[in-house]
Amino acid sequence: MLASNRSSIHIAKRFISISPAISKINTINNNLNNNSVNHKFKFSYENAKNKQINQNNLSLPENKLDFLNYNNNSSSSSISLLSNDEAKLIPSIVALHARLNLPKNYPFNTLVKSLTCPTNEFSNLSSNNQQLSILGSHILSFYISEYLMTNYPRLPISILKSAIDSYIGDFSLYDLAKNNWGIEEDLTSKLDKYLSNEPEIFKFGKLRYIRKVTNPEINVTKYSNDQNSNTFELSKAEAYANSVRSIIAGLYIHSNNNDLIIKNFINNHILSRQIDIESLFQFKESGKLLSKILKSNNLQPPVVKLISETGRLSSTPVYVVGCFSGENLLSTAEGCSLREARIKSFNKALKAWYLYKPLDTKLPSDEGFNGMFVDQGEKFY
Amino acid sequence: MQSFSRMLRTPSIFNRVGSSIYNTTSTRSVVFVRGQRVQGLIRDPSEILSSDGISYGYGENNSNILVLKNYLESLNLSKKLEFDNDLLLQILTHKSFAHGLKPYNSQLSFIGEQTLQLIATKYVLNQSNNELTAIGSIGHRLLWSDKLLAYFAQDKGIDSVFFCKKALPGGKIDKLYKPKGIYSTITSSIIGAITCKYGKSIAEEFITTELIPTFNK
Amino acid sequence: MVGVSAIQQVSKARNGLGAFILPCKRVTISYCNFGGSSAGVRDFLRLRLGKFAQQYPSVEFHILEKPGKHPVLFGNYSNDLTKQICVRKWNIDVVENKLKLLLNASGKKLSKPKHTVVSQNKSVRGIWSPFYVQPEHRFKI
Repeated sequence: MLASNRSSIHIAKRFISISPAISKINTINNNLNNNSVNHKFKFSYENAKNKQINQNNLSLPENKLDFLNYNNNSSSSSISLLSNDEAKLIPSIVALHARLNLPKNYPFNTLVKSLTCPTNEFSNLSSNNQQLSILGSHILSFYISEYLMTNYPRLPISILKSAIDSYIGDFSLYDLAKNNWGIEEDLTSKLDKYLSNEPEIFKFGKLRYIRKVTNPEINVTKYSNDQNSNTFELSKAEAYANSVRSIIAGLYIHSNNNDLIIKNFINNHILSRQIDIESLFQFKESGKLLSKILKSNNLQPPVVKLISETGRLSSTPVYVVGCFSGENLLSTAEGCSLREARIKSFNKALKAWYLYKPLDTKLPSDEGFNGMFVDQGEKFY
Repeated sequence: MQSFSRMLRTPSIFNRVGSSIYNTTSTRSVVFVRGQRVQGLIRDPSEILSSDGISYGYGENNSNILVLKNYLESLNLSKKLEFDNDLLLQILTHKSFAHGLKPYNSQLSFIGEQTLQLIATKYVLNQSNNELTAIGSIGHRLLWSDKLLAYFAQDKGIDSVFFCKKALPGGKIDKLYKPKGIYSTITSSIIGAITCKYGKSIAEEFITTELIPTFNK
Repeated sequence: MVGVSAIQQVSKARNGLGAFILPCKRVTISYCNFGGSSAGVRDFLRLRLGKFAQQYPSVEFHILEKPGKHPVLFGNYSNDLTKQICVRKWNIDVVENKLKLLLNASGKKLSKPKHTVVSQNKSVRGIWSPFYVQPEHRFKI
């Protein structure tokens, strides 16, 4: 009831600024309620960055870019999260703080907030991690993409995005949060909590979210008493990933926007994880692509020559071929048939081109950065 | 009617007379098409390499890149921005131009977009005294929208020369038609170029002193 | 882009390269307040636990009273694994050592390593290829 009263006030405000857009805004809100999946983006890290918050609880200034006058006006009515002193009493929060080696000025209640995904109880923006996770995903996405762009400047955009996603996509961050950081999710029901005699605040030490049920069991109908609850449903991976993003955003805020602390944290926890960029590639018609690349670099078209073989009539023939452009040997490959060896040599030559890695690179956010290699754009046919 | 220009590469059949059969160079006559497309025929390169009647390159007296060059040099940042002509031309070339044959700006605009998103978010935080209230709102997301980025390029007059292919039905040409998704890459790749050459801090300065004040107008 | 498509991947953890996070996240010590088999654990709780827990700030210590049961140390690890050690009748030093054993474990079952080197990386040398053989030594047909 409260929310509906407020929204009527704000719509009046919006009327003044952008009257033709009113119907549009309504549809956006409807979409939010229907929990329509945003199909615009392919990767989960992009979806996390471009998430829309529900603006019903905000009072917006007339000029939308006047960020000082954005106010959250339902903070008093809904339940606020714990204070720092209360949060200090939760063992799992204190342990998490120590496990991540967070700086001393990082408050414990920010960790609690990071682990609280929006639910009906904590639907207010100031008490859940929605906005923190948006901020965190922007930070992560910049630092990871800057790292990949400087180290692999020739990666095609699709591979680059996929590589970024394999560092900071939902599933990677889920693995990080659950299997490294040891964050636990709150799966117990209210009855269980009552019976186990657990202190009330201990529930905040775990990741709390509304689990998305995509396939209810047979003969079970999904029932939700509140239409709003649909909007808060998250998959397990997404909820975990959002908590990681929020923790990083919290670090950013409490380190007074100190880039170095953030960068170290990301280096230690996320960039230290392993991905195999080479195996991200999947080529179709690689010979065609290779000759296009060679042509645009004023090199001779690729010629595949047989270097050696074990004998065509042997039980397992192996052919070794080299891919040449004029005098230059681009790659060698072996295969069980001439065709296989040929295609492998094209793939290897393409990977040698795309995975070019400059030595001793400095990132744009480093001290004493002195320019980086800029690719001229991938070739296509 | 279509106009054909017939060009003969290498001497034709007559040269072959008298020479041994192994020494002949292969001969082929190439026909280029101008104007409307004809399926299976090769288009005139000079036509492919031009956009809105401006042919690709620096132009006479660098006229194609002069506006952008002057604009970047007029900026009052803590470092003076000086870019190679090649890079400036790359900023002004979209991927859609000439089937990606020429250096284009997708990589630059990608890193530029990432930088812009982070710094815009940072800006929003600073504006609201480290409160998160405006994060994720429409206003926040507007800061890196195609609409405003294209508007910025138009406001500074940088988009007067831009090499891209506009997909208009029937191959029509309209100078006034500037698709936002394509024209926004000018601004984002300028940011990208600054990030790639001078680092994040200068890009941050550019965004907060140059870009966002223009949006506020 | 035409010709190149991406295969999605999930990054693999390399704990210790960068930050090291103790795999053990929680230790639960169960004891009986009356039984003789819990005497050592009771001593440990009374005399040493405070200092001991301070050395491991990244681990939660839970103390559980289970009247009439033998004392058990439970370790919970971040990859959903658990370990239990029964410390009935053991004295205070053994209890401390067993606790250290739990804290330093990764949670996996003990097993004899079959390979001298265990690595996530591809072999530096790659798959053997006949190309590596010098041309003069290659098998001639």
